[in-house]
Amino acid sequence: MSFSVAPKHWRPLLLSAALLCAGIAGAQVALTRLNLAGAQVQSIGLYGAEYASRDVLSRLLTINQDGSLVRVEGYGHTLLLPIDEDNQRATTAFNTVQLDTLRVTGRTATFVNGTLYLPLDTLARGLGASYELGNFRVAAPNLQGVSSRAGKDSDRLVLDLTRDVAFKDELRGTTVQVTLSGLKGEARRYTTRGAFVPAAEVKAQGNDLVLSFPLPPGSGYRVYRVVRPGGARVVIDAGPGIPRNTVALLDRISRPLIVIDPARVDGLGRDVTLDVARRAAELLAKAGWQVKLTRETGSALGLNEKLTLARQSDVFLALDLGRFPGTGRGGVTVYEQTGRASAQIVNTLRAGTTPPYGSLVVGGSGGSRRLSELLRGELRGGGVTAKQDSVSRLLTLGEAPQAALLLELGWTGNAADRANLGTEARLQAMGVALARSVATYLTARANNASQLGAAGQAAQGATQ
Amino acid sequence: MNAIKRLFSLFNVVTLLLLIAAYTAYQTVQKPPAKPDAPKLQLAQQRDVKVKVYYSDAQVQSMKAETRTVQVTQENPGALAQAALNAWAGGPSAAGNLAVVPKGTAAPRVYIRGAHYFVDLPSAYLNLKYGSGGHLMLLCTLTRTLLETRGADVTFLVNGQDVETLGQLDLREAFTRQDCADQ
Repeated sequence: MSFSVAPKHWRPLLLSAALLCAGIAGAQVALTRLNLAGAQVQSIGLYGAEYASRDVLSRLLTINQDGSLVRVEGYGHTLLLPIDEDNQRATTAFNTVQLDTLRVTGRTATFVNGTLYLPLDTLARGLGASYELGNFRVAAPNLQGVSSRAGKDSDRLVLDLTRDVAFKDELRGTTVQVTLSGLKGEARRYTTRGAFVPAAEVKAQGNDLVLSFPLPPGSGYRVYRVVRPGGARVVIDAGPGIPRNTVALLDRISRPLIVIDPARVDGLGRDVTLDVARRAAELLAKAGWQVKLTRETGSALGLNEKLTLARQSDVFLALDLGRFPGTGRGGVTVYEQTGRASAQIVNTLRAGTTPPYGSLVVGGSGGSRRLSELLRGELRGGGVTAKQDSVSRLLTLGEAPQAALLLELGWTGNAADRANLGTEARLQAMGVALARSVATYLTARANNASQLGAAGQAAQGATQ
Repeated sequence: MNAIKRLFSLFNVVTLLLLIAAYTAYQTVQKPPAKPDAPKLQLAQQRDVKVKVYYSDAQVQSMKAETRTVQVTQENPGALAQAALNAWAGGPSAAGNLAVVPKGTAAPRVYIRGAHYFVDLPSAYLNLKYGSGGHLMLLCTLTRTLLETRGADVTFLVNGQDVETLGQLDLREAFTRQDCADQ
């Protein structure tokens, strides 16, 4: 008679379980629960220290094993932990770990049953998180404050954050926008004593916080982060002392060129086209836009010089008067160019797929259409009804890569037009309409053009 | 008797005959050629041909076609094209259409090379002082008139020379039907 506790074929299984239990007990491993930044996960207690597995921590951090080292990245920090396969030794303070640029002694990573485990207290120390047994907390991303410093050739804005967040910077027209992902903070306007960045505005945009400020002409800017224990800073330097790192094509957005080409029309007593061109140019120049005329009273650019300006232009406006024998036609007409452009690059880029920054080299025909609509709307607001028409084979319009229009101010053979063009009010209305429509068009174009700055690429490294 | 016999010897007779033949031949070649009759002058017969010629509408916005009867002596493309341009320069016959050039302005000369027309505008066309729309109407009515029945494009010259512009319009490339399509 035999007394067996289990059937004979269960014995190897029970033996294996007993050996495993003995092994776990020998390794001092205990399964525990961990609150990891608000999520309940499993951790282990190892010789009195709490460890979490690589899979668990990958929810928050980027973890890569490189030979016998583990590289942990997150919240703007980079930690290097050597892997000690001796569990007990890994939990002691005899290991040297690197927390950003600092080498300190602390617990390090180890393998338990073939899985990589990392010590939570070392991670918390390196990442600036708070940790107590069973609870690993990461500070909520908040904007604590904005400070500034005025410099000789640049100003500095410093954003103090509770922890590092991803950001991207954009130059939209003449405004720099720094978007900080997932950051909370008070929306308000900050003023500085700086000569180059006199004010900055912080606004909430969805889940993000956006800081914006105008970039003075000829200035550059740079944005970078400084991660410190217990927080992070986003530092923005702007001013003429900062080299410009934006591609030159972006100048088309930040400093567009407006070219007005008034045709010479004799026999009216006054130079109507030049008069309207000057009025519009004066208004635009006062508002800070860059305007060039192809003609003045006593001088005019040659054809080649005029074409060079047309090719550089962001808005090209030809002003003319309708002239044709025997017609009684009158009124103002805005013409858009149709058909093939004379410039090969314009045709090629408009016909093909648009490469990066391609729209800054050659704009689509939609730009001229939009400007035409704006111009006719402004003229209507000034009491001038303008028709819309199309024209082809105009040389200057065909060379202009962006918005280009021909504005016919009236017809010389029409008595009513001649009378209208002799009045100051009419000329002023047309000049104002021209200036307003161009300014509105270019402002909208700048706002729509969002180009990532070079510094924005640095934000890609951040994991949150 | 012997003397007479000796005089009319075979040698003398043959020699005399040869002398006479040579003289006759000499006289023959010395004769001036006969004057050819002058060809009778015949007036070339002119035929009436219908061509479509384009002018401007009263608002200088669209092109209006008129079918005109022109007279040509030869019904080849060059003669037809030149006749059409002469009719173009002469102005429209239908009321409401506008002449594209002032009355009395010389018609341009036209040449054909394959499918390409070359129109040589007189230098007076540079002084027309039209607006951009007017210049476009001028060039497009010519283009449409010439390309109505055949041809691919029209290149414009001024006084036999290549020019870049007429007013504000680009003359560096030939005009096609597409450049002058109705809007």
